[in-house]
Amino acid sequence: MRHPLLQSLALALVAFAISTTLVPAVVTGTGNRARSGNVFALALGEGRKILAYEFFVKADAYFHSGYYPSVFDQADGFKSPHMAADAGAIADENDEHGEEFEGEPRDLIERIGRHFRPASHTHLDEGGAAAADDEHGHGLELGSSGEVREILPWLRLSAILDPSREETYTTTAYWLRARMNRVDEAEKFLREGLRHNPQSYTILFELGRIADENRKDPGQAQRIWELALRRWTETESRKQQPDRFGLGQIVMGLGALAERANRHGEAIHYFTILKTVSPNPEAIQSRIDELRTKSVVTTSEANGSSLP
Amino acid sequence: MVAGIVFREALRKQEGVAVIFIAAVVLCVLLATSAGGRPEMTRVVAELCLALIWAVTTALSLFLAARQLPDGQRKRTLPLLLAKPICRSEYLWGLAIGCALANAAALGVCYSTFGLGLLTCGVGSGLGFAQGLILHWCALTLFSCLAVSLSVWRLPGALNVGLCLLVGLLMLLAARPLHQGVGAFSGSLLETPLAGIYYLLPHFELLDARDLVTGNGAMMPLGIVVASIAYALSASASLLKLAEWRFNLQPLSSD
Repeated sequence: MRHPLLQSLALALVAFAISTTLVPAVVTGTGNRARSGNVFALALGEGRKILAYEFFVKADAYFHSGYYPSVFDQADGFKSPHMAADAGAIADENDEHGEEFEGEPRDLIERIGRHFRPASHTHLDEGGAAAADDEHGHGLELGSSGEVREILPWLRLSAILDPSREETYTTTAYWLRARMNRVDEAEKFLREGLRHNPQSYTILFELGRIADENRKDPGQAQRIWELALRRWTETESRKQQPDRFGLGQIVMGLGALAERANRHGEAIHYFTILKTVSPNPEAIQSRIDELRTKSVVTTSEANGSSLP
Repeated sequence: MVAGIVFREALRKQEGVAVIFIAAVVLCVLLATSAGGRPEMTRVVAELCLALIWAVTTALSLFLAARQLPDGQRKRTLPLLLAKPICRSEYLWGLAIGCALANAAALGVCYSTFGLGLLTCGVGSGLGFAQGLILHWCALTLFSCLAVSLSVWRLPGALNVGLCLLVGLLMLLAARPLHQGVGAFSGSLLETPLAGIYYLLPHFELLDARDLVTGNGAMMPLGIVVASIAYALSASASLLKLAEWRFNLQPLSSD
């Protein structure tokens, strides 16, 4: 046994025996990152979330055809990504006046320089930079779905990097179904997001929108939104600063469904909740009053018709 | 003696400067995150810093181990060393021990600043930190021994490092698909040979305990930690014994 080759074989056998015992437990067991099977999670751990957010912002920069504030610019108009705010995935916290963050050119050189880079605030779904250039001559036209498609690879990459980021799924699904009419793909993507985030009420809300607006199935939409409301109550109601925007979206959907089905009492119940979280409670109150009037009329008509 | 030479060379050359630079960067980043008042970012930044430490120390340990033997032959220092009363086996083991000592020193510097940063952020636990550090050292030792063994086969330094990195990355990042791939052949004739090859590969994933350091994973049972260390040491020793057998058969000069 003094021969190095024999010693090497003996040691290799020991290592082999240990690895056959350890590898199945560590690789397929709980508590090890190998379990996730996600290369980014294995390489960067939680650090991948920073990259995921950067890709999400990159998608928004594409949405603006490259017109985007750098770290040195005032970005009051870009506090929340516009593509996500337009999709209703997050609350819009942007200052409308801050969207033209570059201001007026200070001299002739800067004015000329702006012809060589994106220098006006445009959105891809409104035609992008090309439409802004044509605005004077040919009028503004809505962009084709092909242009909006440019943001999708960034959003998908962001979802791969951080599957727990719910806004990525809801934003992507909105652009897929609303602008590209790829409803099945949007639903599949949302269901994938729901598998990663089973408690997500925002993903459920977006699934309910697909059922209501695209599948024209109000019953299914109501069931999904009621589940979303339960999830919101479970996760947000005990927080000091709950997501009022998310709650508002869900109860507005449920209220609208009930109103369309002439279930006025139910609609009033949901709109009363909406009034507590809405930035414009007066408008909601007038809608509630309108529903109360309709409800009274319907009741009196029903009573009248039931008279002999 | 050989171990001392390797260790002193690692300190003298750019490796020492690189380690100190990385340690300083890690400390600054963690302190800045701690001062920034965003506790939700701390763990995220800590994991990025740890990934950086893993990448840098792996690269440094591989380059250090892979160049020892070719440099000795090229600069004609190897025949001079072997003219002294040390045998080839002692020389080879000295190289490996020197690399392991250099790895320990690099990890000592990086983990002390990293630990200081974690302490200010209030992330992780002492026991998890110690487990992660020991297993990281074991992984670097296995990397070094793999590189030393391959250099005995007269592989050019860059190719040697490239091969080691390829195997290391494959095992670290694709452990689960590989395991599932082998499992897919269960019951077939290929099951035994494929499983044999798979379990003979160096399993670096057993030594990746970064989750424990940043407090993301549950503590490993002591038995698993001890078995992982035993695995790393026996696999490293096996590689070195194989290299020793080959080295004893070779002529000294490559001419």
